[in-house]
Amino acid sequence: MRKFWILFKVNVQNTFSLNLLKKKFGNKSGFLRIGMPLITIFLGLLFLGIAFFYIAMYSQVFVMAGQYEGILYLGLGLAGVMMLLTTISKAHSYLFESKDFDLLMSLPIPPRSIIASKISQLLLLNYFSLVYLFVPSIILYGIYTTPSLLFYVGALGVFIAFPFLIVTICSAISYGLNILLSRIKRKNIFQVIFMILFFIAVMVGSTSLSSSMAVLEGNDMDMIIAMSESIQRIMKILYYPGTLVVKGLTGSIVHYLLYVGISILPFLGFLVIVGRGFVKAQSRSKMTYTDKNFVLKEAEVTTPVKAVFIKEIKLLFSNASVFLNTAIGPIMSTFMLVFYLFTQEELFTQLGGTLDPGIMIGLLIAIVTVMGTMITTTASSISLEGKQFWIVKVAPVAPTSIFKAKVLVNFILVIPTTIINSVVVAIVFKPNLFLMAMFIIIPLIVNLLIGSLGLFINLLFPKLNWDNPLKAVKQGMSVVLTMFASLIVSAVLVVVFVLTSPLVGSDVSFLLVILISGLGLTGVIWLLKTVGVKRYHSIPA
Amino acid sequence: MLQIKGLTKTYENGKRAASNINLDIQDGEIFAFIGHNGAGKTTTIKCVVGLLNFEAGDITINGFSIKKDPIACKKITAYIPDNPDIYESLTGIQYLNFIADIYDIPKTTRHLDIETYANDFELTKNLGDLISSYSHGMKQKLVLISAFIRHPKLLILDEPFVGLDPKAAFTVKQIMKEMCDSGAMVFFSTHVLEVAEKLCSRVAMIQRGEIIAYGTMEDVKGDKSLEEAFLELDKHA
Repeated sequence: MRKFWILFKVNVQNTFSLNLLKKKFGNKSGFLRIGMPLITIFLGLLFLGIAFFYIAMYSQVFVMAGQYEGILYLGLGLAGVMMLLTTISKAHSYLFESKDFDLLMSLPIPPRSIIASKISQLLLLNYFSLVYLFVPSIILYGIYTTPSLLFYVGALGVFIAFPFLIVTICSAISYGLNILLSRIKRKNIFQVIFMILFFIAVMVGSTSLSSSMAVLEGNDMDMIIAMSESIQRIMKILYYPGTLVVKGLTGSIVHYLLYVGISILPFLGFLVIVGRGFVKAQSRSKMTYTDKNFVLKEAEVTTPVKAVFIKEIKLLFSNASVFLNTAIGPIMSTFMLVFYLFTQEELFTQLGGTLDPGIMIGLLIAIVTVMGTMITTTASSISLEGKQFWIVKVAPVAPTSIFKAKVLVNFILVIPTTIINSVVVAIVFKPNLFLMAMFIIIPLIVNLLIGSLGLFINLLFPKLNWDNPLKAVKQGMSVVLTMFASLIVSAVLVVVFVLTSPLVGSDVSFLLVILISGLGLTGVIWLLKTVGVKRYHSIPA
Repeated sequence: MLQIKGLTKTYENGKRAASNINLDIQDGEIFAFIGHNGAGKTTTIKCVVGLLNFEAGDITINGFSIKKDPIACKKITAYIPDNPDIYESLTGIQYLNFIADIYDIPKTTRHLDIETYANDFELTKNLGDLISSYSHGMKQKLVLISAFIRHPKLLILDEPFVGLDPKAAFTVKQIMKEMCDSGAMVFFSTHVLEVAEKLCSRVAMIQRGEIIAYGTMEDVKGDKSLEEAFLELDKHA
């Protein structure tokens, strides 16, 4: 246990670059020393505020129905699904891709302490998700029901125990996948496909549950009660142990202990079982396909910019976890659009009948664009260069060409999904040619804008020092800032559309959105060519 | 010719890693750059290849300034870092072709050169494998091949012999000599003073960011060995 704590302490220090932050900001005066922590706290609170607002809004159904326990089910269900999706995409990377494995194995530390220290990083990240989804539901429940102090003590225990089961499940899946794919040549592609299918399965599952909600008939109160019960039923299925938590927190000590037990015991069991085979699993994960019959042939020659572009594409697809955490947005937005349009056809037909076609298409464009741009590859593309950054920096290629290649990768990923989206919309809504054009142009231009902005932000806040590529993505300031910037840009464009379409019609509003996005893009390109190039040169490699 | 004039580099934390460094390396010359760990060798090298900005002085390669015309400088320079950190998810041949594309190396020349150098370093059969499966020495060989296929005017190597087997180290030395015979410049840092002594016509010693000795090998070491001269200079500096 002592060795685990030593490893854990060092991991936290290393993961969050505590010494570097202390050194970087401790010596600086003014903005950097005070400003950066303030911005971080501000963004954290802002996201917390948004999460609180949405949970409070949905909780009104339970309050009106007098079924306050629904608030807890809501928080537990949302946190459970969110943690499952985010952990499954990270588990492999944290367990098997850390570069310090050889060093740790050479030390007199039991393998289970090493694996525990790796998993503890996953747990730590999940506590952040819990703060945003579970804690608001506890506070809201507390406001409406004024429970005793014991409730809060119990909630703290649930908070601590919550991520263990999900992390164990995801680690076990990742462990199994590692064994299955170890001898396959293109295992990364299989991992990517598996992860996408897993995401789709969870989303289809959740969506099917929502579509099976009770048919709301009868008077208002009956409707509210039916809705409240339906949501609770969905949440109970999304996070099955939630029932134990709610019963435990509302008085049943047996259920409470049962919950803690089913959370912690599988985790301990996993550590013991996997600890025995961890060395073998690690060496399996490092096994690569070797071509025993390699024959040197003449290769196709290409231009430097194209060469950088191809390299970027290869690197993006080479790591399943990085791919999922940087490029999943457009894929999932397309999936959601296709799935919803074909399964909720009636709803959309009704909406189509009541809404102006322009507004309807505008709404769909907004959904697809926001989902597609929330995560961009560019926001971490400089960080992902890591210790290999020297290769492009010493190459006789202008920084602007490197920038082009990186933005192009992000853009290329959106083209097929945008085409699929437009075909689906054309089949379902049969819009005119102008609206179809808007459905293609707006997501593409906004993607270019956000992609370029993400790259610029990454140049300002690069994280080149990492022992695991996923840390460059998930723990980089630039990714959070780009997500925030993407939300602001999308919000501005939506507001412009909503405000102007009643005055000038939706067609002109669409053109206005394109104009504003184009101006924004021009501005960001100018920033990249000036400030961006200077930053590129000054980033030490 | 490589000219370093008044190079001064101070890091953000205030540490001055290079202070008014003046060096020039002639065409066809092998030049050794020696000093302690942390003396400023890598910083100087990184400034020469355009990896680090510097606040004072200038560096020119065949008349091109690394500050004003970095692309022209980089086109004729090849750099081998002290640690071969390269894209591990590419195969060896993919990495070589990537570098060849970046440096506009024609199809026929590249194939011939890759074949020649890969055979020299006994790496041909591994070129189809992922770089992640390579040992440190194999990665180092790959980086060396990627530099040699460019036929650079200036070859800069930071501790090139670390991790290489004796045969590969011998091959590197041979290629360095051949390059110099064809008029290229070789500038390398090393802790292996015997190699520097045998291979180089001129040498510079750096300590705490300042050049403490600079000249022909005979001038710097006198009648002692380079190792003895280094230790003596180091003691008195």
